[in-house]
Amino acid sequence: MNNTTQGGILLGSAVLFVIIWELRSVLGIMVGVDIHPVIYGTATLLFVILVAIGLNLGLIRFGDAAEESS
Amino acid sequence: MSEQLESGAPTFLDRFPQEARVVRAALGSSFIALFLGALFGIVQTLHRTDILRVMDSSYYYTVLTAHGVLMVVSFTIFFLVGIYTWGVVRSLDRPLVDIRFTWAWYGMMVAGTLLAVVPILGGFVDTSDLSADVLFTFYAPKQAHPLFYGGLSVFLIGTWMAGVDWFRSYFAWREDNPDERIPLQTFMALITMVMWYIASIGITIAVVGFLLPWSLGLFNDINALLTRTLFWFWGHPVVYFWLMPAYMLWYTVLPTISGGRLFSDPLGRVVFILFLMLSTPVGIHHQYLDPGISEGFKAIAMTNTMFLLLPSLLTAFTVVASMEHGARQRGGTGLFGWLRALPWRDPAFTGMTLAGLMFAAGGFSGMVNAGLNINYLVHNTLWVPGHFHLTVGTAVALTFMAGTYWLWPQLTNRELYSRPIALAQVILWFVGMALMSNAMHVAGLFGMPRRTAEPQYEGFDFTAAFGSIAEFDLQLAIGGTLLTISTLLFVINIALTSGGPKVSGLGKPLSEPLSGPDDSPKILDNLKLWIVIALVLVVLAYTLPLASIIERGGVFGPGVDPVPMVVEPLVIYAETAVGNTAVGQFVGGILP
Repeated sequence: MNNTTQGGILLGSAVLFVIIWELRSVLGIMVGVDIHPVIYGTATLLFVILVAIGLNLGLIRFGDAAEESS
Repeated sequence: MSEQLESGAPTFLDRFPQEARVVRAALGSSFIALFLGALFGIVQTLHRTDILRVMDSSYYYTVLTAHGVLMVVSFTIFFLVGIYTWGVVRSLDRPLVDIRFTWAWYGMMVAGTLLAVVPILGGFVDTSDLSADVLFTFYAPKQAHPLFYGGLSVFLIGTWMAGVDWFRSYFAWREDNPDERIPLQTFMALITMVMWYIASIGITIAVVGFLLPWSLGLFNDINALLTRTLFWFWGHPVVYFWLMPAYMLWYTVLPTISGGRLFSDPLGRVVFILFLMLSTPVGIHHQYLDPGISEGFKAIAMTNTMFLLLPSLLTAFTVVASMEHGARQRGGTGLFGWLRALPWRDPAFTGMTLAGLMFAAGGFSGMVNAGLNINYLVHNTLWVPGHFHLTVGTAVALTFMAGTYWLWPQLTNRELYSRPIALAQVILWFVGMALMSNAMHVAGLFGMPRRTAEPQYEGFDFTAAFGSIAEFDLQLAIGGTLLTISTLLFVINIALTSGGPKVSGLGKPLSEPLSGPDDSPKILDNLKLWIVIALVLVVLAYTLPLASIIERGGVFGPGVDPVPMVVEPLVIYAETAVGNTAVGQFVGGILP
């Protein structure tokens, strides 16, 4: 089964963005690491876009290894 | 036509056209409230973050009250009565007993809403005496125009009548089916209404006994702490009143959309019974900083509140297990690979799942609120709205919107106008709320207060442990803007759906549970037993605190005498009260 859909990529990108963005708050509050919001936000967006492109082109295959081993 | 639209089964509209009309009217009313509430929400967001100000700060409480009342009274409860009417009729498989009675309670709710909203909007007219800038938490000492309290009372009576309507349908069904188990959706609706009736005792006494006559000028003094406590007697279970219809959708609709079946019907019944028993005797956890309530009573409320996590955790397990079953039915395999097989392109599924995900985060921040000591850190800060925008603002609101994408075509016999727009809408809500809620939580930890148009007081700047306050304001505003756009997309999509051509065969039957009601003991359906236990727990939780508040401050106030903040407040209290009052004698009698 390898039916990564555009809807799934859109949703996954949104969830990934939220998780990475909120990690900044965790780093700031728990560890005291203060990363500039523009730099962090830009890096986050770039990362999410690259992952989305990778999924769309089939370069990243989420879950395949787990499926093959089952 | 997609697979979801090809069942060929008759819709709810085909089978129960009169009831479908009522459900449509109720849901339509809730969407109007959502739209208006969202407009007030964005005005408020942009104002307090100082991004865009279109009004004077003196109107901030008017906007905040309108946003709160329209969202958490009108939007949520109109949706509840609509979805429960659908659920009761569908699961009993019979029409309501008297549709005129049904329209009567709907009319009461509409009239009540209009009566309450008029004085709120009157706050914008400087020359008018009408005003109700009391926020959703409308206890004393803030006072509204009598019309506001009157409107809320009429609305409340309408909801009580809705419950009576569903009970009448259930009793009629029971006569024809004496040995059958109560269908799950009807069980959920009835338990919810029993909880609502018990919770309403507090707000009814507060409004009819104190707030309304006080606003009419029948007396001048009022015991603010007493009205606060009576408000929160109702104010916490109302949270579950909002949540339980969402739970019903998660338990009965989400497994079907996932392609599978509910993991356990009995577990669903247990969860609702736990909500009935535990949601009311916890309201004092909203009053941890009220000096007139003993720390001992607050500790009891905290303990009860922590027990409330249990039904939510049970639900997380049951719903995710049901989703996994559905995914494996659709061909999903592997430890986590099954996640890919879920219908992520379906906005109803995706919306409900994201709502559940956000609810988990809201549960964690709720534990902080419920903790007696760490609550002091976040009390009355922006953290608190950050929390409830995850719970009612997402777990409830997003589930309602997602559920609408599934149900609305069956109420109208019209296909959803745009599934891609619907999918984008629920994702936009998720991202917008994540940004807004994250900013609220973090700013709250830095001490940023809630309920103020001017959070940065003149000459005082909050210190951010990282980033800056301006940055969090901007993040909050961006999140609020995305939420507003999401709301508009939802309302427009539903409006365009309603204008589309009629088609047939849009019915979507619900699947049967893997473990059905026959797997559970019949005692779960013994409503009388659970009602008695729930009432006993409420009496145990509230008798002593209320007696203490009245003894110290008087029925009509105005005294607010702080309770000493000591390790053993009950002992101190008993030492001063024994022999003077019945309360003192009782407390003295149970202490060593």
